[in-house]
Amino acid sequence: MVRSNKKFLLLIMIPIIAEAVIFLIIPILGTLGISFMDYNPLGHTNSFTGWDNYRKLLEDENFIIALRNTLCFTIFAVGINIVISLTAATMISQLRSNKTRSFFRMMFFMPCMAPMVASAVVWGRSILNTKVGLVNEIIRDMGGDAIAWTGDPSYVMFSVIVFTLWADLGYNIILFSAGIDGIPGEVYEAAAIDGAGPFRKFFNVTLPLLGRTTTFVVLMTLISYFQMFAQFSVLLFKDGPQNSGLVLTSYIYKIAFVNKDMGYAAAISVILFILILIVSLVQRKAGKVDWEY
Amino acid sequence: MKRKIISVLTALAMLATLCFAMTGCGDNGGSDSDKSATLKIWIHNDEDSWTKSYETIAENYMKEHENIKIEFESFPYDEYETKIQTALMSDEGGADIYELWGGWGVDFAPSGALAQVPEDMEKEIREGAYECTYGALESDGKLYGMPMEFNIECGGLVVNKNVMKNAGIDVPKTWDELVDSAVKATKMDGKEMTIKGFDFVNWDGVMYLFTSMILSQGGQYLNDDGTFNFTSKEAKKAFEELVSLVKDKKVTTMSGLDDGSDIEGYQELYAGQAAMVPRGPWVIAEGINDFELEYGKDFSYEKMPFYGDKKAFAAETGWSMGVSSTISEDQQKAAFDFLEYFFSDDVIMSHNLACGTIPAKKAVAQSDEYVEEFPYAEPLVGILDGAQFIGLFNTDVFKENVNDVFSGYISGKYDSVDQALEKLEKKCNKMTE
Repeated sequence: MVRSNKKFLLLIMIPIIAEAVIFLIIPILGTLGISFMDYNPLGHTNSFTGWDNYRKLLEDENFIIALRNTLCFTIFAVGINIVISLTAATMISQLRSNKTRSFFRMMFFMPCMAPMVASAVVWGRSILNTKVGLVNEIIRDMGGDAIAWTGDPSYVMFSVIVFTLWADLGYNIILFSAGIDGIPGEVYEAAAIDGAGPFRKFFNVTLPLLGRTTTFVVLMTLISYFQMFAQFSVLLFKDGPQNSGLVLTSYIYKIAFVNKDMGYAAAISVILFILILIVSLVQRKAGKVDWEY
Repeated sequence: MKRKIISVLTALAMLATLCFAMTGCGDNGGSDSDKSATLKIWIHNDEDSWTKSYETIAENYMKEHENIKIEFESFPYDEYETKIQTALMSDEGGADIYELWGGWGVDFAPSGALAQVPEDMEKEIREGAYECTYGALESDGKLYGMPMEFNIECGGLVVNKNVMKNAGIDVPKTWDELVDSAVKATKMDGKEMTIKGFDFVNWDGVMYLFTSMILSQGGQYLNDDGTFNFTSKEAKKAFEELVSLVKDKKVTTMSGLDDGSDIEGYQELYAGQAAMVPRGPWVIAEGINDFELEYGKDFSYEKMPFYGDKKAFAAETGWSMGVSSTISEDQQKAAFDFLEYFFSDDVIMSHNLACGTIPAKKAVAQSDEYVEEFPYAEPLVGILDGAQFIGLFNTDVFKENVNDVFSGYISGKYDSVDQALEKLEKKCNKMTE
């Protein structure tokens, strides 16, 4: 009986295993292979170059800039995202009316429904635009000088992070809300009997019991933010002034499709892959919990 | 015995049917024994006038060649290069004929993905077209495409006549007059520049103006061995002049390179926010159609004075046509026959006129008929002989290098012009390694 169950399980897993092999494992291995070649997809001779592409990375100042920008964007955007979405989810869960709770969740989730590219176009042309953008109109009305939000290197990353948070907060608010709703009411009642106020309830009950949700949310957000591409390519003109908005994903695209150096682009992709893998493993280890409720 | 014969005959009939079906399926376009063919052409679809022109030319060709059917598939420019690249990478799918931006030719021509142009047509192109219009389509002395236009971004100046009139200035005839006029036309409102006097700062503009300024002084930016030279006195003088226009004379800002607003300098000119913008004649149609301005009254297209004594500038290969090398010989023959028709004087002229482009063919560009029909080209046709093919390298990366260093110098990244130009030379030489 057990053996036939195993066979059945293996059988029904064939499609998903095949999908993983064809669309995940083979492309990853292919990318790894290409990263050791001087590879032009249009060329007939693609020579093996050993570690040359990886050595080139160390001398490439644009790669260093892209790596620094990617880490800066990911750390700040993920950090702020988690703080705001957790705070918002906690505040929403305090509301008594189901309808009001649903209303706020929907409001925060609405930007997530629009494609990132479309939202970025609207923000780039109507909100952050130096000449006619809404933000600068308000600043001018208040007597200030217009700011080049996407044209001044000091503001580029800030602008992209603000846009990303606006576009992406809703997902995490929904996930945190689901986690908070899953915490049994008795735990809060017991905390109240012990004299805990709202802040102590949050730090000593909500936060620890949300461990698994937080691990999941942080991990998924980290992975997703490391791979962010749309807002950088749409919101900024050619990676922003002095490459201030150049991130690894846009650099991979540029090297592969503008410079047509697929081998080098593959090497950068491998570095990004390793980076995400390391961060994911560390995060999983750090976020491990050994309790249930 | 009778049953056996019937079985053998049936098997033979099935085999014949199978062979027939396989021949038909494998032909990527349907040419058969009577040489009929369906040609699939990929084009970009950002300009309606271009698409209409292609369709008209194809219709006329099909009237003369009833066995040929031409179908178009069009894509937005932003995704077009990636689309072509992906199609050329695989041996199946894609098109028979590709509309190609010349700059891509540098990568596509040596790849073997495009078919070599037949000998007689190659001779016609080499003898009849300006060298820069097919330079990027060459590899190992062979030609892999047919030029459709002379891509010119330097030598012509879009002028907002109302802005010039309000500033009390005329169209400049010399470089010094241009700088003076630009200073007079520039208007500031606090820290914001409301009217740019001479807006050359855009992705193409800095590179074209810079190289033209070097060449017009009698200098060169390329050595004989193909390496770059930006440390010459001509390059230094040109770079200093460009920097001075932004930093000292303040006739424009860096927004054309820095800002992600997608508004180009010539569009600002049409909106009354710039006086003079160096650009190709392709921008004229937008002023008339989209901004509803009157040519001659609101704006005009003028000769731009050269910085040095020579009327010299660099030009890259513009829009061209290439044939896929993976299609059958018959299909290639049909495709090149269509291109040959396309390259005939009357047809290519009609295309250049419909698209508002400068002809790649010398005879067409210098014909009275063309200038009469397209008077905006008048400032340019006289300087086409002064063009130099930009060079066999990735022009997108070249522009990026020039813009990076220029923008970096303006923002204080380099201590001196010499340091900036050394960096530019190093970056460009690395590009061609």
